[in-house]
Amino acid sequence: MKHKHIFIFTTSLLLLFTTLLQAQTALDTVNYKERYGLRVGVDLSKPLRTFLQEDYRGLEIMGDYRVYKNYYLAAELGNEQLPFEADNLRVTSNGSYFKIGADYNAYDNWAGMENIIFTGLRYGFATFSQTLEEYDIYTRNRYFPTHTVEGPFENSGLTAHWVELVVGLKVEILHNLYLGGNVQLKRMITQTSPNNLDNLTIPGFNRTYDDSSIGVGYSYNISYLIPLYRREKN
Amino acid sequence: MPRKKISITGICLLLISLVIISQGCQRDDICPESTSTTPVLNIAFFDVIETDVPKSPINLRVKAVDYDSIFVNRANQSTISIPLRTDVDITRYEFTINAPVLPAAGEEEVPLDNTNRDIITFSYNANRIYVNRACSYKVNYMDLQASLEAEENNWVQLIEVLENDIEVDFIENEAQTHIHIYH
Repeated sequence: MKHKHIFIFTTSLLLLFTTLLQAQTALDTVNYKERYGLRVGVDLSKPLRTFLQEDYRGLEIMGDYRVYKNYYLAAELGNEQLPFEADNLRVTSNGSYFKIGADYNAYDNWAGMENIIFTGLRYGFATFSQTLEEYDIYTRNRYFPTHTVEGPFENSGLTAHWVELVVGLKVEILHNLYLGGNVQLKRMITQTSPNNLDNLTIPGFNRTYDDSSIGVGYSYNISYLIPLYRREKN
Repeated sequence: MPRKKISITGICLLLISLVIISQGCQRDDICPESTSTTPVLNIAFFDVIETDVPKSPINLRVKAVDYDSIFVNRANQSTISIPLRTDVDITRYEFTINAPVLPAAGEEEVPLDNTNRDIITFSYNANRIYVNRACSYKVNYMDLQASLEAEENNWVQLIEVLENDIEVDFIENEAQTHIHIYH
């Protein structure tokens, strides 16, 4: 339920950005030179979730570098403690992840603006541990009381590789300061699973599904553009 | 240019709705009936002389030793399926024939003249196996042994263990018999 609330919040945030984007006025100049540089930022949703959700802890830094016209090199680096609770078991995964890829800006800016509405691709990699906190032995017959096994049982040295499709935007709210949001659709390539258990959550990938290799994610972030040079827009 | 803007907004909305759909439709939090979980022990009763003739114990009561609740009382059937404990490698059951009707609340139970109680101890290795996130773990009972507690007047004559490893809770809707009890 909490997840759903965060979702609605993210969606409305994205809509707000779109409105912001359209409300901006253009600088009336001919042959305006666009700023190229490195944009570094931090995910805002993860500290917020750390505050709101018990057992969750997360931090992510990100950066993008404008390589050529509408193409950006992009990367994210993060660390998460991701709990998963079902009716009959509870696990926590803990670890770091790295995503690298590229963004393509599909938004044609007016002069003086470096906003982007982008689609991107990422390769994601995580190294983590998964701890089985407790579980029930599932029995259909209820004659004997439920047998709960108390952990924690830690499985370390796990890894996962996946690809991501990202869609989002970054809007300049103050000079060189950007507010951004995106949603991610992920697909698992390979993963090492613990013995006699599956990876129920993976840092950077979020929760997994038992009979699909698809994952989803979102981010809203604040970033700062370090302008390195200007190049004429043609 | 506006067309480009529309198309990118379209992609955004599509992806958002996709994400919401995938979150809403996944129901992997309920353990489905079709999934094999912890099995029960299937027992069949046979005549001790004509060993291939099924014979129902008369008014059979089944109850685990040290547990207050009765699993079944005054059953008249030639097969029974009972659960085994998952937390220890031993389960002791009382099998009582000619069991009396359960007394009303607060009343003392009076055994009948021919009431006869035998205790059978089932021992095994309870192996815990991960199923999925909804069904959590199941137990498979390996190296099953059954032994009758000998007393002056046992109604159970012989116990035969057919399956030493109890791993599935059903086989194509047909219960597999694990133990034969001759009486």
